[in-house]
Amino acid sequence: MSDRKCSHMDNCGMYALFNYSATLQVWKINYCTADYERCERYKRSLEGRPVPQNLMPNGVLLQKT
Amino acid sequence: MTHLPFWLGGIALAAVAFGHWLLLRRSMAVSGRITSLVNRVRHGPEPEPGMSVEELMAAAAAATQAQFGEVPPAPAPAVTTSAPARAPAPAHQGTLTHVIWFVAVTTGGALSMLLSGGWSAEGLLRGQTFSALFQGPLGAAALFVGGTLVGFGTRMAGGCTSGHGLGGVSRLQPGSLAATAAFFGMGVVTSFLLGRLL
Repeated sequence: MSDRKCSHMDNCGMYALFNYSATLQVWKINYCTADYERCERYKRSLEGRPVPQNLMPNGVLLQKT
Repeated sequence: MTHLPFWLGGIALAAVAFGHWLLLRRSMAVSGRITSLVNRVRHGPEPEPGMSVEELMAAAAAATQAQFGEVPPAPAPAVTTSAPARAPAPAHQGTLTHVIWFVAVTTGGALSMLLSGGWSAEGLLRGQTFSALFQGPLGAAALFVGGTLVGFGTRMAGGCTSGHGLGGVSRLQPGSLAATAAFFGMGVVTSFLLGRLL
């Protein structure tokens, strides 16, 4: 596995969410500890834009199911 | 003016940084909070999804399936072996939270100043040349330019002395170690040059 890690992990609410479900670990593997530069949350944060709590790394906004 | 012993200041700073992490589950960062407040002015308040943690997790599971298909669960982290003791850290903090935090910081600083006998400028680097050059309006201009440069550098580095120096270094974050070494190193060099030249 790559040793690249997103520098925003400690303060990312979505990363914290991923830690509480084994199924959601796939996001960490594909974004947080890999190609985090393509994470929409990361990109928005770098641009100084607000990061919605329900924004997924792929840009999908979670809605109530 | 009397100063508290350095070790007491260190313990107090560590306690504040650690307490901040325990209570809010996020690193204490002054510049980060300023950035958040400025962003709210520029872009409006952060949208509130109004979803509970359980609803977020359910929606995230559906989004996972849509993105990756059926995913076999990865080896479960330790925290999933039982019900989480506390909900995942919330990403959202309201504007009021930031305002209260800044009021508390400035109040604490003012109290500390009053308890130590009031405010007085100490010109440790101010030789005769420095005083001649930077007294009056020119001194204010130098402070303004210096402050602007500090703000610019802080934004470039993604943090300041609190976020990187206290929060990041204590957790041995490589980026914070590099940032702290850079700004403290440059501070030492600048102080040395000012002391020698002015």
